[in-house]
Formats: sequence, structure tokens, C-alpha cells
Amino acid sequence: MADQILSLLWNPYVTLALAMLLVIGRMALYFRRILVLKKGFTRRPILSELSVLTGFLLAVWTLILGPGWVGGTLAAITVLLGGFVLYLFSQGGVPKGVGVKVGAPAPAFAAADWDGGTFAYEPGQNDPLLLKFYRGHW
Amino acid sequence: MVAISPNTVEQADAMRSKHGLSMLQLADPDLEVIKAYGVEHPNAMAGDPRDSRGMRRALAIPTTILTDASGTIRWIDQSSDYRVRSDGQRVLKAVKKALK
Repeated sequence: MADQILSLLWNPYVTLALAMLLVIGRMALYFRRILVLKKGFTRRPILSELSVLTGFLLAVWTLILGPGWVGGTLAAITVLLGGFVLYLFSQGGVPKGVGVKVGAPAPAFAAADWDGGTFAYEPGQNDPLLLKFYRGHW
Repeated sequence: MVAISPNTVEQADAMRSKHGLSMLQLADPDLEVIKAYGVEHPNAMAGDPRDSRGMRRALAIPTTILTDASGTIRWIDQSSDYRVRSDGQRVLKAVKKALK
């Protein structure tokens, strides 16, 4: 049984199908969550990252096995797509760093709101404030 | 609750209507507030080809900061990955704890 499963890994059509499923299928789920469901993540999407990495490696392996002209093209597309997605994933990290500390007074600031008005914050003059810094529009 | 980003006022307005947000959204296109709080990410991947400011530019590190009525910072939550957002439940818990 284990031998049979292992021998499938030497069949380029099996590895190609698996690679495409892992890369394209997982990306579809990933972007559906972000763009369609608009849910975002509250934890690092480690499963997506591992799926795409495995699919990427399988696609490279498929190319080594030599799947013929059509299979080779599909495998190359999967390698490029998977590689690009892995690059995007690798850009996810941000430097840690806050210039302010718990227990310290919050810096005063003023900034324009969407209405053309101004919101001014002066420590001690406002209600408690939950200030969310975010990257920008999606 | 106030949200602040390097968006321009127009972008903030567009995002507000697109996502139906009711919270106060502030524009900090010159990153003045972001720098005052030291949450600047100097060379971030912006990922919006329509923005004339370029794909790679300074943005804010996604950070949530809670202050109390006296203006003292009570809680800071920062993500190490920009895809990962503050968990609503965790924020709520911290707010309740800090302002008890």
C-alpha cells in the first residue's frame, strides 16, 4: 500500500494534478476569504503557506520527471504562480516597533477626517480612545 | 474608536463607503501621526498599482493603541504580519480590562 502511494510520486500526471490543486485551489480559497468574504486573518495563514509551498515543490518535481509538452507547460505555470505567491507571502512580515509605551502619555495629534473636518487629540482632554493604525485601502 | 492610515482623505472616504464603515477615519498621508506614535513601516509593499505613490512606500505597521481618559496609553497590540489583524474578541477583552 505504502509502496503504491510512493510510486504515484513518480507519475508526473499525479504530481502535476496534486501541485495544481495545492497551489491554485489553495489560492482560490485564500483570496476568496480576503476579497469575497472580506474576513482577513487573525492568525498567520500557515496552512495556506504550507499548501502553496508543497504544491510549488511538487510542480518543480513534475518538471524534473518530464511530463511532456502540455504537462510541462502546466507545471511551469504552477511553478511561476506558486513562486510568485510564496514571494508575496514572504513580504507579509512587518518590523516590530512602537515608539510609545504602555503607561506613557499618548502623543497629541490632529488629522483630517474623511469629511474635511479635523480630529484633534489632546491627552486628558478626550474620552478613552481606541486608535487603530492600519495600512490603507484594499 | 478612531482608525488612521496613510490614505488620503479621498481614499478614506472611498473605503468608508465601500465597506460601510461608521467609525471615524483619519487621513495621515504625510505619516505625521504614524511617525509620532513610531509605527512607521518604511519600505512596505503597498500592493495597490493604482496609487501614484508607488508599490513600495512607507505605511503604518498595523497597530491598535488604547488610551484611558487621562491620556495614558493602557494597551498596545501589534501584528508581526500585516495580513494578521487584531482579533475583535482580544481587543474587547483588553478594553474591558484596561478601563475597568
